[in-house]
Amino acid sequence: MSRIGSSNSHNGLTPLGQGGAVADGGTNLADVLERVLDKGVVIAGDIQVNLLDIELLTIKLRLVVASVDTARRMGIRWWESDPMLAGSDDQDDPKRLRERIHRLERELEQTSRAEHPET
Amino acid sequence: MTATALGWYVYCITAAGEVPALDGLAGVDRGCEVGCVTEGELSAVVSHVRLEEFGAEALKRNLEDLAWLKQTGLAHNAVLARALAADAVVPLRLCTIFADEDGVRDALRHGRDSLPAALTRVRGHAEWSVKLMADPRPLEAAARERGAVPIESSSRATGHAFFARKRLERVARDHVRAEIEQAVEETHARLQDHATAAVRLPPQDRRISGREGQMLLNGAYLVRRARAAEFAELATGLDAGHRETGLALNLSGPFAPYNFVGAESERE
Repeated sequence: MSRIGSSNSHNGLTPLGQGGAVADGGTNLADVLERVLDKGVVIAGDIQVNLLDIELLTIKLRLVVASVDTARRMGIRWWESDPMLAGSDDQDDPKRLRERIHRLERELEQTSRAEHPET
Repeated sequence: MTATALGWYVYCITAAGEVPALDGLAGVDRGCEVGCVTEGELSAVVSHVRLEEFGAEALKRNLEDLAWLKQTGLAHNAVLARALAADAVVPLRLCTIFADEDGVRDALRHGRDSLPAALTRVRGHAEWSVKLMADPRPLEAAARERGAVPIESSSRATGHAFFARKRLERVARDHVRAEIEQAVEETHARLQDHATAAVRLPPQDRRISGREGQMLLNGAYLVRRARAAEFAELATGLDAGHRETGLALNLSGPFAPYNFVGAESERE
């Protein structure tokens, strides 16, 4: 059994990342998984898992790594639908809430007009 | 001893002769050291893997196993981190495996038209990840504070006061949200200015990121190595500026340029 030959020359470059105080060396699992599973060049190897399986796996992993569909659907404003950020009022269905807000605004205007007819 | 069937696992591609010293570096299959295969103008960073763990059948099983995936993903990335000592590295997707050395050489010959372009694009660069996390509590507090404009204590208008307060709170929340959105856009733009290329990845799920709060930005930046310290400084500065707003910036890296080598090579 052949040992794989070791490399040629060391070019003397030191690894990066020793300067940044906030850098964590790139070992965060989510950062790594979203890259090694989803990015990088695809070269067809000899040993392959059935492509259909890979896609299934990707979908499963995406559910774990990132709620991609949810994020896409919501675009950059996705956090608005998060009840924690959007406030306790918004825990219901957003459409119904919007309707409710419009209704309340109309009521508010009517009330305010009734109370301050001069404005 | 019985001979174990082995495959050839490829981690990344470099220009021929640019693979840095990898002595003693373990591959994804522990016990199998990392080395390189050179064919023409390209070198592949490779290691043996036992097919009983990395064969097609075993992979199907193992890839569904999150613990195995974690270990393999981190080991794969660790090899890339070392290979990044080379001036230009094109990372491959996890589990690119060949039956023998000839398979690796064939792949290198096959990629001689597309891979050099990718190498050129990332030469002298590394990838950095910047995330912006929002801590919802200070944000909510800020919204409430701004919404808490004292209502004239006119006793006759309790309903009016209630609606007015609700409306003010909503306006304040919208305002805070708009500010956050602007901060996110500006942060990305500033970082992008210092990068050769940038992409925004989908925000990571809290369950796997293990991070507190909501991820508002998950950016990947291809940064010239000579400007890495400058980039980190910029990130630190932006982080300090965001603290008050309740946004926390996290910088991680350097990564091999995973996010900046894909499109061309996948087109074929």
